[in-house]
Amino acid sequence: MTVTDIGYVAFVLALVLSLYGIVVSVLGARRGLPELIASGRNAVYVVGGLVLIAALTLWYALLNNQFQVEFVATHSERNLPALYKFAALWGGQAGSLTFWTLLLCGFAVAATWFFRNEQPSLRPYVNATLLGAIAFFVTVVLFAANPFEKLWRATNGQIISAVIPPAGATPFVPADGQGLNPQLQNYWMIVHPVMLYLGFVGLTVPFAFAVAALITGQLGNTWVKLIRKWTLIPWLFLGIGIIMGSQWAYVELGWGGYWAWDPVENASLLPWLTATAFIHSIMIQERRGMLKVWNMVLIWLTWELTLFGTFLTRSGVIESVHSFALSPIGPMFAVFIIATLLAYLALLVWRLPLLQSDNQLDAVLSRETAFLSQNVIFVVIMLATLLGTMFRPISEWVTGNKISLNEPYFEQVNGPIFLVLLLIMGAAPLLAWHRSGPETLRRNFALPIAATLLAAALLYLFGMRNPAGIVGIAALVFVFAGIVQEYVRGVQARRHATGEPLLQALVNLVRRNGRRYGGYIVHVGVLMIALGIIGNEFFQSESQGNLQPGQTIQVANTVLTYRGLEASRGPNYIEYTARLDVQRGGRSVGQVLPKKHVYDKNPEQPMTEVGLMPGLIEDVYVVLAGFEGSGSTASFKVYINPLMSWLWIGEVFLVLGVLIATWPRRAPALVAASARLPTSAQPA
Amino acid sequence: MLIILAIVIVIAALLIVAYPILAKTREVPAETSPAQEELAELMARRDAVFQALRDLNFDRQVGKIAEEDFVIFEANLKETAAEALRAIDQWEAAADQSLDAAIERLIAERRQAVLRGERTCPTCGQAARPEDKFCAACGTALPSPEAKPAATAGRACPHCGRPCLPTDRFCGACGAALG
Repeated sequence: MTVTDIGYVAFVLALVLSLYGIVVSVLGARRGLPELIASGRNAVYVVGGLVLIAALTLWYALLNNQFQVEFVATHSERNLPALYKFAALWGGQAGSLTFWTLLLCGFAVAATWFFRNEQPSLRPYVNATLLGAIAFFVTVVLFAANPFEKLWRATNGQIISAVIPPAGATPFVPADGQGLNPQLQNYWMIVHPVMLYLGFVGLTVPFAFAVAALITGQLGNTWVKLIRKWTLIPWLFLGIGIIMGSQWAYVELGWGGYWAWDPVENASLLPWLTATAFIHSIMIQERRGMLKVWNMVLIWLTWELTLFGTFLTRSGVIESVHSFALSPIGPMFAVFIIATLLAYLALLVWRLPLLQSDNQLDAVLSRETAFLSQNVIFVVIMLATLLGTMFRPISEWVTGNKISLNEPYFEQVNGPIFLVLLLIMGAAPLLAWHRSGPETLRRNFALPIAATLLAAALLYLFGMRNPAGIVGIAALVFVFAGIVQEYVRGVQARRHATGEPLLQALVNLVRRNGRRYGGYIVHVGVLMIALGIIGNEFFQSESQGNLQPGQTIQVANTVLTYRGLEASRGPNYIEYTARLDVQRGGRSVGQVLPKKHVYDKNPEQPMTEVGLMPGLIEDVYVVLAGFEGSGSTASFKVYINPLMSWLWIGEVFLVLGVLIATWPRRAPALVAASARLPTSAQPA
Repeated sequence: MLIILAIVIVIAALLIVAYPILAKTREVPAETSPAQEELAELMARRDAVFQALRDLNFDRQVGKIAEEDFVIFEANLKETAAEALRAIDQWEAAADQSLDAAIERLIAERRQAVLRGERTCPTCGQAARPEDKFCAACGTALPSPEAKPAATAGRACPHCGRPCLPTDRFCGACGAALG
């Protein structure tokens, strides 16, 4: 018996207990038996503990080079730095599904603990839904992608992998592992999947609450209020995960870009789009009691899309519809997705009579309608992206020919829609709830529109001739001016009312209205990200050349001089570093060091480490494409990527804004009213 | 060694899950009742209206809404807020009423028990068997059974002779003032 066998036992037990927990939670809630509900709740904690134990055994095996474990043998090696051995858990299918399950359990345990004293009638169903999701992933790990399998030499000499060896088989322990995929040996790959998974699995909590609200018929304001932060935080993780993935692509893949609309990337974007729509539209439900069905649909879509994304990227369906059946993972996900889709649909239809709107729209020009159109647009982008992603398997299925839709499709379809979205994002805060009259419209839009026109004129005057670039940047100015105006007017109103000094008024304004002003900070982050995208999309310049030491290459106003190549030894690779001096406008501004790593275990797959000189205005981005001899000639690809840094700065603003919006506020005094009453008090 | 560890993990997991069922009586969930969930929903609705009112006022302060619109929507929202507050008041009145009724019922039960000469716990009112030394519900030490008749024996209405409680100030049968 080895340590990972304990992990296997823990996983089997976790499956049994999560199924048990579903049954007792539902039974306890139906029959009104608190001891069963409590047992179901404990099942959440215990399943969480068991999955943690299982993950720890895998980490132990990875860090201690237990190569008899097949997953360790195929995803690690003796010389792999310890941090990558740790991260290797999510470097392969079986391990990453285990890690996914672990994070899901983490959220389930946290939510169960956090809501232990709230909404007793919802909780058993929340627990049952969470356990249902966990049970599915545990099943996939146990029956389709088992990381606990070990290598054995069968009696006929064949090497097989199994948890329980066939009779007569002896343990087979390779001397060293095959190593981790070199592409994954990058610091962004340590954090990026963690963030992404946290986003994916975290969205299960609001979904579970939606299911519980539908089952119990408690469809009022309470569940929406409870899950607001539990949606915002996974949404943030998902956003950060997506951006970090771009950062990884930017520094590791070496094609000068950060996003290629490939299926894996799209899979993470799809639920983010619907989740973004959801966090906006629940505001309308909270405030006006409207869009109840729509919100139920959005959180449903969001959760199903997190599964669908996993299905897309892990089943092989994108490469070919025929590879779908090769691994049991695809069919398992397909069955689970269809089953949950139908079950939720049935619940929703059953509860439709209880999901009537309390109010109606007051006017066409109002913040409510802006939110509504924003929602529709997010869903349209999601559908366009989904269609583009699925086009290859669909076309193969229908016509027999694989037709892929690549970047041009996504950019031409989504680009203009994103522009409209940007404009709505700018306009919505300037509109009042209920109704905006013509006079107030003029007063609120005058300044941002003036700023927009001025910006467009200035860009033209300074020589910008790219219409898309001008329109894009002018739109950013429109949104930004609107946000600044919101802040200025808010501070003015506060100073007028309280007489506070400027800074104090600003701080109190943000503190008292964290949701609104934190939201605006998030919008500023989005603007910065959009600025980076526009810069890279419309103003990138590139060049390439074969250089001998001393020779130069020029891109835009930047001149690079090749100085030479050095080789050195890394922990599990040889590193070739080229040195180039960078001059801008005749002035030396530093050096860039593009590298190539040739890994011991994968010498045929040399990795590009981009030489980067980041800047607020532009990045100098150099790829060492190849070299001869010991660097007597080397070929380089050089990109000047304007404004890229703003993508990463925008990420920081997203975090900051969400922190402000979710920061706990003091509860209003009136809430204490409920505490007075003993729990046994029942209104007649 | 590892096998023992695995067995320990399995047993611990099963025990934790089964505990609430095995120790049925000890798990007293200090949870909110469905009635309180109803109150939470009412309060969520009230908070939402208050928030909308605050936003409306703020929108007026920053000049985002026309004065005539402000008047209309403020009146609407105030009406909704009043409704929400009324609903909470009603809930509380009903809760108070049922609370009062529950207290009255407990007092009446206890009176009856004392009058019948049954033993009850002086702290929580739970009925006790003659041989009990401690209350089965709250653990309070019970006065010895011999002491009890003495406490009530002497109390009878001087006018009609009906047995009375030590705390009674008037006779329940004839209304005579008790000393």
